[in-house]
Amino acid sequence: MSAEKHSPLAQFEIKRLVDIDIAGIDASFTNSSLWMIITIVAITLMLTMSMRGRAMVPGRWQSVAELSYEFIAGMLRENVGSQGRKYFPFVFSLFMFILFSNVLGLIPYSFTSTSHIIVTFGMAIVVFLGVTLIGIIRHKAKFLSLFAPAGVPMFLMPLLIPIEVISYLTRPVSLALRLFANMMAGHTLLKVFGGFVVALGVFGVFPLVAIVALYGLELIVAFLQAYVFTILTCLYLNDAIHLHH
Amino acid sequence: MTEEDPKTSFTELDARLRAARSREDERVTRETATAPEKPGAGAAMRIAVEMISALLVSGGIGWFLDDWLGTRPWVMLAMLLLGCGIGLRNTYRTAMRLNADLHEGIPSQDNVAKPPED
Amino acid sequence: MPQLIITDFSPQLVWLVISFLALFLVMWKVALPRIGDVLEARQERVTNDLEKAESLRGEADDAIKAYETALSEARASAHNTAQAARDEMNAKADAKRGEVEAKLSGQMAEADARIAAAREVAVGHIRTVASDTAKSVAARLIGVDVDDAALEAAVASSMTEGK
Repeated sequence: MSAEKHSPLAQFEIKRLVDIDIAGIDASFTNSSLWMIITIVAITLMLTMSMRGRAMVPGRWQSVAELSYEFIAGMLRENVGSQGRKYFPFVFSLFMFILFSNVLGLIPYSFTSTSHIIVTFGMAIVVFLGVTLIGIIRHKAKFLSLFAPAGVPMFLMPLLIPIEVISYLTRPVSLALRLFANMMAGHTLLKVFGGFVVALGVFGVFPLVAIVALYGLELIVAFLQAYVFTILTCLYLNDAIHLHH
Repeated sequence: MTEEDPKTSFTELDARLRAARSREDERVTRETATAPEKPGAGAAMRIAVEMISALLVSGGIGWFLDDWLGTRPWVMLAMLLLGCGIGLRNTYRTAMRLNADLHEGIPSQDNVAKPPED
Repeated sequence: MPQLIITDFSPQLVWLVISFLALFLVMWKVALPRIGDVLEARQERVTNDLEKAESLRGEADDAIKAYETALSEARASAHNTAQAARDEMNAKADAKRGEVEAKLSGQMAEADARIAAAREVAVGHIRTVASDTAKSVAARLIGVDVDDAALEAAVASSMTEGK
């Protein structure tokens, strides 16, 4: 048990805090659930408390709230255009949820819900299905032209269409895998170096320096991965709305 | 001499007005600029992610086709081969799209830094 | 790897759906409209203020222009008034001088006439005195009683010679 506790992978274990069963589905409240709740409470507090004053000249926290709003609004406008405006609340929630999960996960002894493939895949599949649905509703059968590149000879189509379809189906997998792999790698590395600090005693200062540097890097990665996930969502949305790559 | 005073205060006011206007225009255009991303950071991770995703999807499709046609393991092997190609292609494509997104942001920021003087 | 324990999938998915849905609703209905309103209000305010400042600046320019034209007009009218006053004064002075000059020249002519008359009288006296003297001198020296007419002629001729 104690040996397992020190394994760098032990931090990813799911621990059931309250066993819940709804109609035969295991809906237990776990450490992952706890940190998801902490994540959304933190986001809600930050965005609503800071805007409480609705000041004309924003304070520090209000600036942060406004900046994040404008950041995502700008991203959506630039990559999707005016038709993307409808999806702003979803894209914004997605970005904030991933960003806060990633960053809160960097707190020692916390849990990173985005370091689980099932969570990232759940989000990716929602994005994938949503985007595909939007495309089909908007363009009906014309949506299939997304898989048939223009200006390609007819005899190549039987080869190219399966490639395009598989490429398309790959999107949610790579979206999920990218976020999961980055989060897991970073946290595992931090844990490994943390173990070195403890094991080396006095000489632990050297890995400690490495940990500080790594910690900074992980903060950047936490933001970058939230950004990449969101911007790829925007790009896929753009494909579905405007039918071109 | 008394006319001099309001005039100098006006040139000052004009300068402040112009500054405020250009700041405002800058803010409006900057809203469209994108955040910077470090190019080349984690290139190995990116390639690995794209390759594994493509192999998983095409391998999975091959697995089901094999099940359906009773041709295990041939379709899956063929699909894995195809998956390698698709993975490479996707690596290139994703990198291009994320980069294109970056390059659109940079020149607009340059324009903003030097507002036209009149 | 703890991430691949299939039995852990379902609670994570359930709670992902619950928490994400809750977040989405709060963002959609509460947080984002609030931030959007503030941003919009500020944008409006900034645009309005800038426009107001710029229009006020234009008004100030107009006021300055009006002030300057009024000033130059006032200057021109003051100049005109001064010129008119000066002209009037010059004319008055000229008239007075002419009057005085005329008076003076009249008085001068009068004086001249008086002098001329006095001289005439004086000259007349001299003539009588001269002829009387000449008569008495001639009577004493040569015992001749000179005829008055001759005497008068001689005196007149000598007076004209002496002149």
